[in-house]
Amino acid sequence: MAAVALARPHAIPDVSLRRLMADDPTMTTAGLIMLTLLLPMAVAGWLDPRMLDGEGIWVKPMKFSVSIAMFLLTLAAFARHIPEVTRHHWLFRGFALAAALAAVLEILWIGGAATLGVRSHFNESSALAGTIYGIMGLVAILLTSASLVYGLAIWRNANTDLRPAMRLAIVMGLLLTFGLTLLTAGTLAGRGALIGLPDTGAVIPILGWSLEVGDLRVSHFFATHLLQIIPLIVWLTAWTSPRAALGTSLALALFTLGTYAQALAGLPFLPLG
Amino acid sequence: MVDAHTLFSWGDPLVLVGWAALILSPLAPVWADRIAGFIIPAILSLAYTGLILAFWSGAPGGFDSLENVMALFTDPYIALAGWLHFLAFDLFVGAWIVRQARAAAIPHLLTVPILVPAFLFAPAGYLAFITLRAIWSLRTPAAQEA
Repeated sequence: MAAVALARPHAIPDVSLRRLMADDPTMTTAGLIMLTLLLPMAVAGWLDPRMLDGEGIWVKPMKFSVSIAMFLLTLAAFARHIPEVTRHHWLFRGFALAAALAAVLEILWIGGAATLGVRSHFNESSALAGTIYGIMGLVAILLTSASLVYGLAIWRNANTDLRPAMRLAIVMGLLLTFGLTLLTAGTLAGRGALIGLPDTGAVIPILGWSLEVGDLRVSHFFATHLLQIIPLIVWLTAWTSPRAALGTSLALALFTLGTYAQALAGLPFLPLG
Repeated sequence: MVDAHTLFSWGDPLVLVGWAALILSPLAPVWADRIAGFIIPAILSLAYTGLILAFWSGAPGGFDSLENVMALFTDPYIALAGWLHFLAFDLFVGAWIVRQARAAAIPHLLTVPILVPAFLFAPAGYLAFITLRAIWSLRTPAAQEA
């Protein structure tokens, strides 16, 4: 019987926009705003000849928009596992609104810097730019903390219709995303993305990670997407044992920490350069 | 990278599709309105917004004096953005005129001649239409209820 239970896949979740909007209007709206902003940024990226650090000036705001949109829409998809009483509580709603505004502010800042042709992160060119960069660090922490809040709220909810393995995968994904993003992005903000001096500037296409030297953006990327990766693996493998979900979470956390240590040691993620 | 002149050359054929849809609108009023009042203005607005994001900060001039506005339009990409703004919003007003004319039961054959100035000199076309609509409502009081 155990084999039969193992083979039975997890249910296919309803991820229609209508459902996301009903469960979590705040995160869904912010996620859709991110995706809408991608359109004019794509046009600008197509037309704009300006470069920053060897790539088109619109590449970075577009990467952030995609990543933050995925984050917000994933939170909206998980929101159904938070009790309705909690979701409708003024404190939760206020927090969700603040986190969603943080997301919009983040993109306005990064996109605004691109349109002005200046750096967003690591901009210490003037007192004002440095102050804004510092404030945006706090805004980014607020945004990331949504992962913690959603994770704790789902963890505390004993009455989800999820099987234990999937519930664990979602909770671990959310909590690890918060903790490891704080660690990796915090280090990134302090030290800069690259550890070492690149020679040719060779990078992995689209992701833009260095093929020559340590790149802290690798571990930031994995940390920030664990909330999608862990539940996805458990869903695809149809694992129903909580221990398998926990093992997956720990393995991916170790992998992320490995890419973090690798970058700090000055080694590229893929040494092909 | 796409040259400003190339982008410019795509604008006219695009809006001509919209104006043709408005002229032929009695055949498919819903789709004519979607094409001329929604889809084509949205495409042009997207191009406009992309141009502003990419080229505004590097452009000379500003909005605060005629000299500055003239200086602004010496930048080919900003001039192109301004032109796309004309094309998009003129067509948008054209679609509005056709919708309003239908609502007021003005015969399409009276509306079509107004679409010519609306296309070439949009504010003059707008004036012509609101005048026509006022006169029409005086002549047929029943149309006001429609």
